[in-house]
Amino acid sequence: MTDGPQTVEFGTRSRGFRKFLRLILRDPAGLIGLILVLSLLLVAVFAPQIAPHDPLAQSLTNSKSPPAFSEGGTWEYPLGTDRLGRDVLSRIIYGARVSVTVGFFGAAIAVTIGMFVGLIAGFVGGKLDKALMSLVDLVLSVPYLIVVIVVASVLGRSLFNVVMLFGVTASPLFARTTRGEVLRLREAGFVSAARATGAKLPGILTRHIFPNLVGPLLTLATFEMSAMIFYEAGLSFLGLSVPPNIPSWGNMLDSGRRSLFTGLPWLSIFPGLAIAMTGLSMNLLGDWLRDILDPRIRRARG
Amino acid sequence: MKTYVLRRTVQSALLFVGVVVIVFFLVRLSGDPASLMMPREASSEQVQAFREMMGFDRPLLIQLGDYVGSVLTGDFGESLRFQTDTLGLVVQRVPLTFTLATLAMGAAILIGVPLGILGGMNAGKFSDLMARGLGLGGQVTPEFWLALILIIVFAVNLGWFPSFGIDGPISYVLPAFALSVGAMGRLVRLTRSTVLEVVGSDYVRTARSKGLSAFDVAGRHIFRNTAIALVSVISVQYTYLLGGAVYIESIFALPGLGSLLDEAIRARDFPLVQTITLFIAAAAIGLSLLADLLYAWLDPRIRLEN
Repeated sequence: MTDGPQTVEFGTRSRGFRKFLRLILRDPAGLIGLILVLSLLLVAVFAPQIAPHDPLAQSLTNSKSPPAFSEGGTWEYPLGTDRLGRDVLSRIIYGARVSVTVGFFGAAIAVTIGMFVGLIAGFVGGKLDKALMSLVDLVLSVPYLIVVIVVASVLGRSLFNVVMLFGVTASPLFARTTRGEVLRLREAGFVSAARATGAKLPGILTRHIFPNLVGPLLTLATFEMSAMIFYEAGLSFLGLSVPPNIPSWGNMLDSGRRSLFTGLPWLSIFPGLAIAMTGLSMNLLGDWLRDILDPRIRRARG
Repeated sequence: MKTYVLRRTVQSALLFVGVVVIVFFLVRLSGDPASLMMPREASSEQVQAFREMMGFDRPLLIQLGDYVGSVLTGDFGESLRFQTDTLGLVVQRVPLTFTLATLAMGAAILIGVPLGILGGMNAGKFSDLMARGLGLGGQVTPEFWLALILIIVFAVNLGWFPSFGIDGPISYVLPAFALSVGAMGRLVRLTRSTVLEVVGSDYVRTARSKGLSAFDVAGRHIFRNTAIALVSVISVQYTYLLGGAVYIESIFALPGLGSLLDEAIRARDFPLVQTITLFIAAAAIGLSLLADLLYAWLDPRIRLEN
């Protein structure tokens, strides 16, 4: 392999796809992660088709029904019902929508802002770079969870606020990574060569910088998506995320907490499992992406 | 070394001033701090009176200068709910959170570091797979969920531990364990990758090639260098635990900083929220300074640089 950093080359479409298949089949953990993440996406998109019940439908005659596999449960409500008789499984399925929305749009906003700031800092350099990076360090020095909790409590409960909150507060991480990559790439042989042949900045950006940013940023985005879903559940649990009438995993755990001593453990168990499984799948996928996409690690291993 | 200490200390002080500015703006994000802090049913006259009383009607820059100035001279403002100095309320709650976080960190280190070393020294083998699995599991388990499960199993069903409040040292067991899992998981993973890196380094190869026993190589080179690298990791994780304490203390009804933050937010007592945020941020900055100094002192490559 040559000196400069490289990305996975996608070549023609079919060859790229075959290469992708080969890479994912070689790593069972990555494959499991990918399958779980895709299933989560499908569940979120097709929630109305998949869910056996209306997540908001109350039924006092069927309230506090235990899960199907325990005594007194019925397959009508596989994971049981809550105190208002709402189906836990359907609520978890609909709750995936909140989590996926927060993770996906939060990460998309964070990547956009972070990449913009990081590119400016990396290319302009000098005082502007110093000022931007001090701001990044400053924001990152405050414990993240505390910032998120305080901002959420100031802004009030809405999905839009939560998405914006995660998008903006996670952007410094992406700015720092982008800047680091830009500084490294600027000195790389192929960028100097492109410059020497008279390539203009837009051309260098699209041909040489962006393709090399995809790997590190996609990897970071996968981990951050998982973190955002995790923190959103925490905010919901504290009553600081989406309004209580929207089913979300954190809101469900909050109501599970209120029935801790009344013998309804399934209200606490299943939403938490959903959060942990989501975190697990995104971490497995992120680890795999880092292995195949991060040129430095690939070279070190090769 | 002296100039390094001085430079890092000044840097941390500046960082704290920056955090004070951030905290000032945080409560103004909604645009109107007066209606944020007043009860929803307050009339517009009451809100206006409150606005004037708190000085929120003055120009923003004057308010900012005023806030930064008073914080730096030790005046953190009054709590709206308790009508007393916020700093006093915060300081009262510190010992419990400190104890809880320290216990959790201790548990995370005692479990996480040996597991990470085990995995890193046996890369690819079964013990490595187990260590990685436990590490990932700890990392993705929400502490607020684990806390609920622990209460259901060990407090409600088995009755081994109290489910809330402080009633002797036994009350710390469940909360500290619940709080520790995330840090434990990350410690396993970071220790493992550090050990892997150290094992592959030139000085370990040299030590091996000059005939040192595996025991000596591990003790003198691998563990020592891993321990140095873990110093900064541990300080970051400790900061993370201070955040997680918000969930754990409110679930277990423990009177610490975290539950105070939860209560202050529910009561819309934002002057108190600000002081708690400042206090935790200051602790984080202090910890990272301490870790850097310790790191410099332990690692001759930094200590001898100047």
